[in-house]
Amino acid sequence: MIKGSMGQTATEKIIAKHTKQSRVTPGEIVSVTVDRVFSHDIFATTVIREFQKIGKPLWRPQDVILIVDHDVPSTSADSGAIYQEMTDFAIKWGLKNFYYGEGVCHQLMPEKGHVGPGEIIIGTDSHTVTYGALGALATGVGSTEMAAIWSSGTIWLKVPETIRVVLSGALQNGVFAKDLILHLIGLLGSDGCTYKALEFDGPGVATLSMDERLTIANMVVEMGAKNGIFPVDDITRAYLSSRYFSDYPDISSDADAQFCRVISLDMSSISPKLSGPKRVDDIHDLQSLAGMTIHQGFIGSCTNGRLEDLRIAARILAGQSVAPFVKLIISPASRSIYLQAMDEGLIKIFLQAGGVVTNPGCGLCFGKLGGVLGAGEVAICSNNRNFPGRLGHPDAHIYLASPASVALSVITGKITSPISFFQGELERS
Amino acid sequence: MNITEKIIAKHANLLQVHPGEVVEVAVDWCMANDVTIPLTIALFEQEFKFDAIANRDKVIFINDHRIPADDINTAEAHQKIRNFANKYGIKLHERDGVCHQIMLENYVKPGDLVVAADSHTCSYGSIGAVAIGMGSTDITAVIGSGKTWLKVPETIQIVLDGKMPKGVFAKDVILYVVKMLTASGATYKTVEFCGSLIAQLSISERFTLCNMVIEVGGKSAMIHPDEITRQYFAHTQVDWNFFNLDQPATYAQQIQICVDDLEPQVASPHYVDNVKPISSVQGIAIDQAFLGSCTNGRLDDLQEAAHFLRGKKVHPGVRLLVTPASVTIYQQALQSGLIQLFMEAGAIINHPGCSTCWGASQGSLAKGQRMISTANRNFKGRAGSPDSEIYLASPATVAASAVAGKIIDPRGDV
Repeated sequence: MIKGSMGQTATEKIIAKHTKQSRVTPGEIVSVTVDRVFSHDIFATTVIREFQKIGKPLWRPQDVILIVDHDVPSTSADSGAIYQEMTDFAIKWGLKNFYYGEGVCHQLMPEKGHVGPGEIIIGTDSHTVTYGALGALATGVGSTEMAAIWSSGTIWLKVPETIRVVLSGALQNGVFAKDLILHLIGLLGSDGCTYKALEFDGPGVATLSMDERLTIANMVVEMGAKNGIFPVDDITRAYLSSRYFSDYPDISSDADAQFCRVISLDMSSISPKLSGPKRVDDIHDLQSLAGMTIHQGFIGSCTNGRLEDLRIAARILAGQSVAPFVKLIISPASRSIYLQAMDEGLIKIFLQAGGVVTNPGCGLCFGKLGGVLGAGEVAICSNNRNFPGRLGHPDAHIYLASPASVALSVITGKITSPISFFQGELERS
Repeated sequence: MNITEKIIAKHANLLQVHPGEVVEVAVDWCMANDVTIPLTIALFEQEFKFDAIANRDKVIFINDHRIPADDINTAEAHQKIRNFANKYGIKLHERDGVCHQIMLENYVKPGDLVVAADSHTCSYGSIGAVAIGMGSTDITAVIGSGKTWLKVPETIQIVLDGKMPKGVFAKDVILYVVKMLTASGATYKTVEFCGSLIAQLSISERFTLCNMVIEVGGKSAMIHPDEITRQYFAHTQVDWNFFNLDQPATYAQQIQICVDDLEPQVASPHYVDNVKPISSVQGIAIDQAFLGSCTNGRLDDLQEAAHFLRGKKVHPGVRLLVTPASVTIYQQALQSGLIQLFMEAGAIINHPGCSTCWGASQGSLAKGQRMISTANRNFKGRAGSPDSEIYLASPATVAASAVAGKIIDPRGDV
């Protein structure tokens, strides 16, 4: 086949649009202009110092976003100093978007309208891939690379090959987007998509809400993916209508685009999953571990701290109590989610059930505050990583699951399947 | 005997006690928190050779200082506390709020004698209980034996009269008292508040007064139960006749204070007794404001702060941290729309606990930063870097300052 004549994937099209070329080919290294970038309190000061070494002016202050979300409010004087350095930088360069305690970066970026379809968004955090849910090419880089973008507005990329995941059917009651992505991680393994693009497609996509797509895209990096992209449809447009006010192109893969692999997934065949206790790709049917004693539950993070997650958890926890000696930590992913959850009475339900509700932020997922685990403790969590030491002691056991599985398990004090709770509910249409 | 002496005598099973006398007393409540319990656990079996709790219904454990855990050591300390509580059948509060607020809401009643491994235990004088802070070794002995010894303290009586001016609160009164007495002015003495002002103060405001008695070295605080106390305990069995004194009360010292002309007070770095009138600290720029703690984290405090934040935004250069003192208060604040109001103003809401007050979690200060706080202590490094500064004030002053970005007089806004 003659190079140049075949169709392109959505990811290839987005990259090409940000170069001076009309098309790009997987494996090719290109320099791209960037639409927007962000850094958070773990890496921002490194970026600031590297940027100062380069000595150039800040490329586009309106498109550089700083977010304090990991250690907030600060748990040490050192963290307080980091916040101070970020503030000084934001004031010096007149940054328009500086967030302290507003929520997790990956929730704020889409929520505050900093992400649009077809854009290239770079962040100094691996879960930047989350914004693929909106049809953007979003990926994480290290601090030094970010300093170069701050100086130049450009970065080089190797064009990734694309794996296409064709979704059909719909999730069963009691099965959630988290279970879907855990299932996929189980299929592909932690290196199954190294430096590849994942593209979600097929009739099943329309059954997934934006909150669910964000959950799925969030975890593609757990398979090594460069990005995970969804098509732009009515659900995307509805989400963007109140927050993103620029025009955006209609980018989708050509019918004859080349995929390095195509995976078909019948969503109705997926059951509730657990990942863990030490590797994200150690995936189990939740039922096979049902009955295992747990010490803590966590609902929050950029993976599953959104309104739909809290609503599901509240439905399960309403009128119930967390089991004796079990802790439940809830961290809404952003201030606006917290406010909405309060309006709907969800926060009250959590407090009455005995949950600890923290301010919005990365919280426990970051493992340095908000309910850190001790040696030997077993936790069921809605976040995205369970590596040894991720949530505290290296000998803690962390199982990742959907918010529904977390909520049911903290009530019984044991790993509990959500299927029976949801039995008898109407099928999704 | 005054009422403190009468309560001690009753618990010593004596007809009469005198200041200076050392007596052995039975204890109604013994409380410890997650900072002090680990020491007790280390001592209980190994050093004291205890194998049981004297009275498990009287021992309360409360995790409030480092909740939820911010590091592995804390997580493991909490684990040990959980296991110990489980083993000995001790009531453990893990997520309910600041220990002193939890004791007020659930346990202590007028006439009780309470010891606890935390200095601000003196707060329960607000409801007519004798409550004393102690070290973990003493507390361990109490947990195992049910009793302790103490020297009967002398009592300083502070007569508060007048009418509270607008914009002036119980916090301003106690800061003024701390200034008068200084940090050592009441060492090993009881401070009893009386006078016509008391009838104007709610239990919450009385709690604020008594909470800071430890800042003048007080052994305990006392407010004689009155009609407001009776209403507060309307559904609790209390022997109110006990509070009728059968002989004239005696005091070591008496101090008269009229609050008519009192202005808002601010304790300046780095001592609680370095108290100044607001007029002399106005205009000092702040980086952080804290609304919470056992001193001022109750519903009326949140309501007072809300007046200054309704429809306003926290100053862009300031972080406002709000930590309700208990889950019950948190829920009431949710119900009445206060949390939403704070959130919309740009505040960070923390789960109930000690939080920023003691600097180990939830809002530590960096070098050179300055905070105005409703808490009770401003010692160097209390809330983060030793090179940070803390000013203590009422919720009104703190909220008004958070909006202004600098310390301001709340009366300008009342």
